[in-house]
Amino acid sequence: MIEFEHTGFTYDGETFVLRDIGLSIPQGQFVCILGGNGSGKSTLAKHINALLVPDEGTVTILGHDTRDETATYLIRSNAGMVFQNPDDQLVASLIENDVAFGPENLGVPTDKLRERVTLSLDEVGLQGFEKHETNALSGGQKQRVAIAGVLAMNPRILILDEASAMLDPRGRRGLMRVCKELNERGMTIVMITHFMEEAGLADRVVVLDGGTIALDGTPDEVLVQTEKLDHLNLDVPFACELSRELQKRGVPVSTHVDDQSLEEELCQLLSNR
Amino acid sequence: MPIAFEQVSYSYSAPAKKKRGKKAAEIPAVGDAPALGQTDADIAPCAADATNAAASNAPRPLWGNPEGKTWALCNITFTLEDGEFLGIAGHTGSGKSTLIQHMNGLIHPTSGRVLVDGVDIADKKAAAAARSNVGVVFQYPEHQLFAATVYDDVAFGPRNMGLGSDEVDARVRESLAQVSLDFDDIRDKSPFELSGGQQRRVAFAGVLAMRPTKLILDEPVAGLDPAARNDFLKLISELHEGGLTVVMVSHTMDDLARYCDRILVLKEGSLFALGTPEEVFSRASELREIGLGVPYAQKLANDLKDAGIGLNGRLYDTASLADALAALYRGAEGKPVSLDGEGETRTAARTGGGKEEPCPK
Amino acid sequence: MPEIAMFGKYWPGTSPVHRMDPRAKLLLSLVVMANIFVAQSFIGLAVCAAFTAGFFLLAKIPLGKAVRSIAPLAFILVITALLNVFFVQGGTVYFQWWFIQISEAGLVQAAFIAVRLFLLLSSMSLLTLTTATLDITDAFEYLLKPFARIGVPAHELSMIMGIALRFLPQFTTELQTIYRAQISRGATFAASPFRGGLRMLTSLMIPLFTSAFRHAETLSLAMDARCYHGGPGRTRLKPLHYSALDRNAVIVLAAMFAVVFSTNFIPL
Repeated sequence: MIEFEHTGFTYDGETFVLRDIGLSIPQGQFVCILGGNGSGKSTLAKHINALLVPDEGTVTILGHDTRDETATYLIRSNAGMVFQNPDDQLVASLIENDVAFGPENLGVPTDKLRERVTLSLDEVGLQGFEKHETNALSGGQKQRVAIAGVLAMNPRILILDEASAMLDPRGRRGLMRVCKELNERGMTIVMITHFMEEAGLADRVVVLDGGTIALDGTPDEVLVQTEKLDHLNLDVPFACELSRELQKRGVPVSTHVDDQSLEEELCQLLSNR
Repeated sequence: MPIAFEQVSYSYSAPAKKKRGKKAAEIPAVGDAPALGQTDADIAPCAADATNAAASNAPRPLWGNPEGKTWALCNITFTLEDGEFLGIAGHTGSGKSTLIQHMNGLIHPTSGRVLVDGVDIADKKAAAAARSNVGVVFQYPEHQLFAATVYDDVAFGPRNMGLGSDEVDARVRESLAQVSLDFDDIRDKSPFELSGGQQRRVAFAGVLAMRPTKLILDEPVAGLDPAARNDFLKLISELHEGGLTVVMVSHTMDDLARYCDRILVLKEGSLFALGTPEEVFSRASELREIGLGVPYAQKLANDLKDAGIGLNGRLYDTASLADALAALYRGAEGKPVSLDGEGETRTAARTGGGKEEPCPK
Repeated sequence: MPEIAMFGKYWPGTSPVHRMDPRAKLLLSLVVMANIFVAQSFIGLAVCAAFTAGFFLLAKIPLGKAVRSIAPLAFILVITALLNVFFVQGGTVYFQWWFIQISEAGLVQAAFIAVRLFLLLSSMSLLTLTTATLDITDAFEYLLKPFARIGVPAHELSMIMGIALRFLPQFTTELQTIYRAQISRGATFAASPFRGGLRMLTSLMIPLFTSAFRHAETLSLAMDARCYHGGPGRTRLKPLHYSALDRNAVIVLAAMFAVVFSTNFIPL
């Protein structure tokens, strides 16, 4: 569904921000992309909806080469994107107008538009917010409106480019819940983030470093590589860190990614005596 | 020079308890001479807020304030002691930003007083004096950079204080060093050509150059990546060790737990909790109810306690929790328990009584 | 955080005024403004004021809020009135000092202009108070369409207006934050423009401009990502159509015009 083959990209023609990326994401997968500043993760995301096209190699989305200009709008309507700053991406002052912006651009007939707006707002948990003003919303709500605006185009891929970076914990949890629900209904999700607890919930974690893929696998495979994550200037999930600290102190626990499973093991270990 | 809040309330509808007619046209609602001693009998006390909110269910446009909400702060009383590291938590809209802007007289209480070193900063001169003493770093401070060179930007504060050019120069050098930027390398660069993290450091330096004794930080690490975030927290902690009183607003309970002496929790403008991290995080379930978490370590420890594992003491940072768990493990192995609680751990677990749950599956 | 009262910030509602077609509302508010200009006497202005107040009543907008919403532009009113006080001469002279002279005609003229401006601003704010910004821009685009043939970029103009209006409240908040941040660094904006005042001003304006550019950059990306490619082929969530309401409004305004116009023949 999303295919990167030997993809390279440079902004200035000299330094490559992406180098020889090979990445294949099947339909319905929840992928988190991690990486420090300058690792190329946002650049990679912008290749998925043809905001950027590769200088080397190819990117194929739903069977269409992103360099094929006739397919650009097809790709963009199928791969919606939510950006970092909630204040920068809402076009209209009224929520319903903003949500309708995408499908309006696609030429969806008026009688279908209303339906799409209502459905999309339902899906992000903002039923009945049609007539509210975007300015009066909290950051988390704005991001959900942005997702609704994307959903109204009926996409199959949702890309979140550090969409939770500027939110408070409550907003972040809400955003994650919406993404999980969408994913359960078959949406492919590509989430750029640097919050480890979010990465822990994904099906797959891809870590970028200097424009190349440094690690790729399930959270259990990737997030336990604590030394490597440290080296890449990334956080280590709390459960991993605690497991590591306990191992240092001679407590025989395995390395966990998820708090819940660590808790279970500790509980067994300590209460069976 | 402590900062004391005495019954401070701040209302959206009558911010500075004075005429709002034509004056509303001007942005600076700040700095105007406040009406001292004026009573605010016309304003309902903030306790009545809940009923106000319930009465206005109809869709209302927002004239600047959240729907049905009048009070941004309600009867806040506490004292910021010299040299302490105070954390302020509360979710969006709980009044954190409003609270810290009272600390250097940017906004004045609708009722109550803010005393800096015993002087009410409702007075214009007192507020001006407080400003060079209390440095406020706003959210995303790099967005307030403006000068053509880093030097000029950092010098803005000292120059506004009317200092001579030698003194200004000394202060710029000193404050850039404090934020680990190389003076000669960076002085003539445009702040806009720097990386995000460097820009934020320059903005910090701009506040430090005023040599404040207190540093108020509104979400100082928001939007930074993990590496930059850790660098900044380290920087803040160093500044604190260097003698600065620090107030840090943050959403991240783990950061607050790691650095703060005391934590103040706001809930819809009211003081919800104030105390040491231990005291505050012991109220985990209440914190969760108001949309705040506790540090990961504390959460895990609480869950284990609920499952009947006897843990006590300081558990909100990873190292301490690991120590406690390791001690417990060795204790369970038959070796002596090195925890302060000794043998009590087991009994403590049992007194958990009916709430005990088996290990989660 | 308290904000500055916004000029004519949309006040959601379902009143007849809210439900009118935005094109009709746009055109008819021009008619109201024209009526206010037609009034040549205080009686005429009183009639206009009565009608305007009636419209606000019909729109269910509390007058206090309405007045507050024009407060940010009050300085225009004051300046214009003062100019008239000083420059229009005639009748009894009340005050004289050096070259400054305040006379009866000046005061009358100042009052007249002030009332007229106040009414103009009110009727302008009524339009924006009762119409969502996107509706105004839609109407604007529609009304400009005939000129698209001679090269007027109707769609782009209306899009620009819409986005500007969407970001206005945000910039207001941002300006306030910047202002407070610079105050915290000892800036004094009341100082004379000759002593460091320029530096104070740049300390406000530069961050505001950079913020505008930053927003613009992402916004244009976000619009691209949502398949924006100009006007052709776009559909509308709310297609515009005229209703009986608009016809009634035309009748009311015709009546208003007739009354106001006839007041001009009342001998004073």
